[in-house]
Amino acid sequence: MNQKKVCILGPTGVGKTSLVKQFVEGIFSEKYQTTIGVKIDKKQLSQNGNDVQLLLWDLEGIDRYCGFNPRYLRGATAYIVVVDQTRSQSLLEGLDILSMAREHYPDTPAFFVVNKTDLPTSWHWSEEEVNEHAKSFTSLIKTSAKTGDNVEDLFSTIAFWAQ
Amino acid sequence: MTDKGPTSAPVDDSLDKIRELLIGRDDKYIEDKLNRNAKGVVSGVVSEALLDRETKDGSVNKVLVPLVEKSLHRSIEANSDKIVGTLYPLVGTLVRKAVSAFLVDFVEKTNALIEHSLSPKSITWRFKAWQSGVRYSDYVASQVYQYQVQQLFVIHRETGTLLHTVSSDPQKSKDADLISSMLVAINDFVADAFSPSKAAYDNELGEIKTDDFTLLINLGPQAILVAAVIGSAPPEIRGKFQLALEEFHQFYQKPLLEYKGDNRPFEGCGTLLNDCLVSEKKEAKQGKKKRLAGTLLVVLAIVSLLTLAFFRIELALLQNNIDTLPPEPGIVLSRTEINNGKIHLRLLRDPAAPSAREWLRRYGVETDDVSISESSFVSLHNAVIETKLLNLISAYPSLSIAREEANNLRLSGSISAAQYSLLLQKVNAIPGISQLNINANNITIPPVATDNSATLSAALAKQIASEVSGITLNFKKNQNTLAVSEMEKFNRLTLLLTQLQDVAHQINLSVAVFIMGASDRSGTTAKNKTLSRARADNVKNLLVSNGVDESLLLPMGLGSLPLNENAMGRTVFLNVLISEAKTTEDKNP
Ligand SMILES: Nc1nc2c(ncn2[C@@H]2O[C@H](COP(=O)(O)OP(=O)(O)O)[C@@H](O)[C@H]2O)c(=O)[nH]1
Ligand SMILES: [Mg+2]
Repeated sequence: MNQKKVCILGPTGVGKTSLVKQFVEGIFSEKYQTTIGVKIDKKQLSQNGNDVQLLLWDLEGIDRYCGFNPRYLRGATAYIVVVDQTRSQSLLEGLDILSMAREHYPDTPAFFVVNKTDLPTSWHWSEEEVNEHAKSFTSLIKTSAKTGDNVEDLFSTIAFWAQ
Repeated sequence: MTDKGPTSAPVDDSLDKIRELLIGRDDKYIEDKLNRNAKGVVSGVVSEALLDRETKDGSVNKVLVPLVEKSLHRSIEANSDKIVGTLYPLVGTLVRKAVSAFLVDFVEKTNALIEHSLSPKSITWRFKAWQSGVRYSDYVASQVYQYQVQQLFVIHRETGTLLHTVSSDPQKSKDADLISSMLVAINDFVADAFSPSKAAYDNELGEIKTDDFTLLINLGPQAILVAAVIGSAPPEIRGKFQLALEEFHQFYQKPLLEYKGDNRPFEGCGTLLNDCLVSEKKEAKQGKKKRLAGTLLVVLAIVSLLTLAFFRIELALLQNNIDTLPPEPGIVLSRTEINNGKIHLRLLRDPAAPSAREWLRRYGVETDDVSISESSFVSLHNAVIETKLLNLISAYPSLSIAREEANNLRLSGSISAAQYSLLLQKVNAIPGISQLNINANNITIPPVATDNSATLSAALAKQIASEVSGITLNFKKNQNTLAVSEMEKFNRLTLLLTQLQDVAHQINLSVAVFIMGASDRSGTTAKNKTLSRARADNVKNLLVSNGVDESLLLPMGLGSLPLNENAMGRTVFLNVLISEAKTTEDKNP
């Protein structure tokens, strides 16, 4: 079976952990989360009859000021940058994170996730602006970790890319 | 002083001019000259000078060492992956040496350690020892060397994905992939937290202790070996892990470098890892004898486990050896596998090729642990065709064969006409013979030697006649041509008849060979008559074309034979009539 490492990045509170939780049900390494800032979960998918196991690295505590440990991205097949469409600031921070990640791993596909679509859009970014920013990513997917909207699609798109 | 006004003394000025002419302004000429020769002058004495200075005050080393260190450091920093990869086997040996040195030291100091250590653990132990009323050193002994390696993980270092895991208890191995990723993350974290520089291998984790087990972590360039151990493992087990990890890198170098998440190439590495799943059980304290027996048992078990594992690796190496042997003409290796402590080879072999064992032994492969099942096939490899030809020729001592150039062979020697025709026939029957160029121009066919002893020849003729009469050639139903299966008998027949005709010619005998075709009872009488005659005619024609004198041969069709075993009728059989030997008087009345 193929195993692929996928990192989930984004500012605090945008719903990274909730996305993984929604996708895999059940979180493994809760107790390390606070210590080392990474939570890892796995989920098996089937792509055209091939089994792929995604190992999802949920990186905590990344924000504009704190930065993150780029080592955690080593060997990742793809990474996801999650932002929260109820907070304007989260998009700016997300873009910062993207550029930090790109600095170390310029060739790894990066997915842009706008989360919390179940809530009304309350950031000051227009649809056009979001689409413009999305051009720096491999693809844009809008999700709700709460309702599960598009979550399955997000990960199967990544699994598809990972092949 | 710097004032050089026109009022200065003119005498001084002219002296300066002369000096300037001789040695240039500011000693320029001398310097030029010196510079020009400097390289030669210095290189002539540089080694000696360095030595002198070094013996004098040791300052050369002080200058050179930091320089060398710095440039080495830079080159390692720039190519660290490459350099570490190359050095790894070497480093492994060094580490092993260090570990064994440590062990010697460890054994010597154990007693002192037991008596004097004051770690938090030792305090607990002291307390527990006091509680249960045994001596502290006894208690420690009961804790030490009582361990089990429960699970081993081989983890891809870069991605943190699990390449393979083996477990002493398969139930416990679920979530091994998550544990692996977690370990790598923790390792990354630690390495990052404690080392300011980027490539700090020594800052990464060696072990993680939890309440109930210890994770021993061995880092290699591409893979990490982690052992989950309960109890306290003896330090020499580290060496074992290190060795297994080195072997893993050696065996799987290519898949490791090309790893894209697919674990299949590593499926076979269980054999390597199983060696490391060792354990030592706590002995019951029931008198010295039992303990001794127990120790013996454990030692025996470990030794047999190790030998087993050793053999398995040995076998894997052997298998690899066999797989990479240079191809042997006439042998096609179709499959090798390890099963029940043996290597099973499946191969195709041309009967003319050397036996498979001979082939393996020639390359120094021990064949005791190899079982071979072979099917025969016809090889069209030139070397095999040549071997067949050589075998054939070796049956004729009067002939020799030589190679003119690749695929060009020359036959020479002398041979009777009959034998020659037979030989040609056999040579042409070798599959693929047309790939070789055979030059037979140097074969001479001498006239038949005359035998003075006519009686002897007559006896020989009789003997031949009786053998010929015993020959029966069988035919397939409704067929009048000779089957391939009968070719051998037919060749013998040809040989006998050519000999017979030679002998008969020598001593002037009359010979008649009856070739009697027959058929079974199926079909009409007329048809059977024709069929039987056709069989006889065909045999006759074949004999004639192989050099038998046509005038001796008398083919006839007998029609069907009234036999119980109907199939027996489908034959051609022979009978020979020979006249009495004619004396000289008979010939010249
Ligand atoms: N309404 C809504 N709330 C969400 C969604 N995703 C996450 N949340 C909430 O956002 C908060 C932060 O989520 P969390 O997953 O911990 O964010 P993380 O810091 O990125 O891991 C939590 O209170 C979640 O319940 C979503 O899609 N919709
Ligand atoms: Mg979180």
